[in-house]
Amino acid sequence: MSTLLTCKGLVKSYDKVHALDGLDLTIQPGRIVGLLGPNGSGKSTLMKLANGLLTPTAGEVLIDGIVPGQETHSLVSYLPDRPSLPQWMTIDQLQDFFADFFPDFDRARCREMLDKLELPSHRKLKDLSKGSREKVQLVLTMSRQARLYLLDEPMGGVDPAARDFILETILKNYDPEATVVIATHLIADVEKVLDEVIFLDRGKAALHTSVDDLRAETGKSVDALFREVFQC
Amino acid sequence: MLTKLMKYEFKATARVMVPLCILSVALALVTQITLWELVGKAPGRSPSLLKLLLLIATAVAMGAVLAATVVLMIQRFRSNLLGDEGHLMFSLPVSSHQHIWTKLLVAVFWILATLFILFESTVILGYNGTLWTAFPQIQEFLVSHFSSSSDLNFSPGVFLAFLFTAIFVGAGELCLEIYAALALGHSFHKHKTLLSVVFFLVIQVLYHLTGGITPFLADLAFFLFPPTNIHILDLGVSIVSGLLWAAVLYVITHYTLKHRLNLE
Repeated sequence: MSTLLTCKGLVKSYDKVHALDGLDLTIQPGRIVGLLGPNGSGKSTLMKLANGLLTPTAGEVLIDGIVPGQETHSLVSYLPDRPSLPQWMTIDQLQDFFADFFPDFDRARCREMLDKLELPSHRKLKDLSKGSREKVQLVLTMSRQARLYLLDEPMGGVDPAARDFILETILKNYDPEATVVIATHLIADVEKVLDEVIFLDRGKAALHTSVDDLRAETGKSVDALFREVFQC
Repeated sequence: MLTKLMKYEFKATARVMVPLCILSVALALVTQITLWELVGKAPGRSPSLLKLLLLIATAVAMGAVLAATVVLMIQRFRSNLLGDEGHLMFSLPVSSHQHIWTKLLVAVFWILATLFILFESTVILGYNGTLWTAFPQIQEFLVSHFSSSSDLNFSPGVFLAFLFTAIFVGAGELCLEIYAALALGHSFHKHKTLLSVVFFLVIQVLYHLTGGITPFLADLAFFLFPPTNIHILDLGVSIVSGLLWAAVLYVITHYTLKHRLNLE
């Protein structure tokens, strides 16, 4: 089976600190993968490298065999860990923006999700609450029919009720051939949807296994094992 | 994709620039009408406080248009490409070339529009009923002055074409100086703003050090086109040297965005 995301000896350093330290990783299509790790373990850095927003210090990251860039941006739907949408635009204008640049943007799907979340399309983003803005960003990201979704802390700022909706959204909308990588601290919330987990520790993959195998081998939930491995 | 990027760039900038431009021209008009009415009807009277305030407001609006043009040029490149919005912009299936050209063309458009608005507002403010009769005199002055040292091939039309091209290239050059400095400064881990300022100063120093190329180009132009008008020659040389310098800055900006992008 071909790999969708490949990291070979991937290193990213800031000054003398290694955010990623020789990471080797392959992710197959059709999986929902949890990228888990404590603060500073390199989760966001990996997401940004995979999207071409940072350049590796050494090694390489490939999306479907291609170095991240203009070509891979058509394959990847990326949700950053911060608000990146222009605040002066209305939700309607943002839909136009996504439809203009991404041929795989599904406007009907987007409208349906916005309606369910009761997000008013005519409102400017800057007039919405922080949580609502995050929901808009997630809805736009998940409204694409991409091959790889990179979601960096998709539920960080939303209420617990909305988290269930977001997980439903992810499950409902993603193509079985697509892969979703979710970087998060909220392991208990996402555990039920994950096929695989990757534990990142100080820039290296400390563990990469399927959730079923992990439960069978350790008899623990992902959340319990995470707390054990990364106990302070 | 370039046209789509430009569409959104125009929308983002026009929401600031258009109201300011309208305000500047409208204030100039209102001030002119009130002052003209006052002076026309009672030449001996001095303008009231309200009318002086209108005059000041017009000057402030004109200053605001100028300031907004510069601030927007910097802010759009910095926050839209190198700030948080860069996470979205550099996730679009477009090239770095297209990002740079979008910012450059829209910024140059607003610089030229600002120059026009300032000229227009000044003309409106200074209008005293004799402006239109002065145009033939202005034309006569231009022809006599600029053809005084010419030998051949001069016409005011050619001169104006060279002049506008030189202004266009100069505006692009200024934008690229700022873009290159910002791109270089933001490729570092820390002190991005400070480093951007430092790089801008370094670019200025290099620009003046390499200014020596201009006399060389002038000599070359004289050699190649000896009978050309001296003013056109000067403008031509400044256009060519400006284009060369802009090309260097463009390469620096593009290389940095493509190979040293650092959206931490």
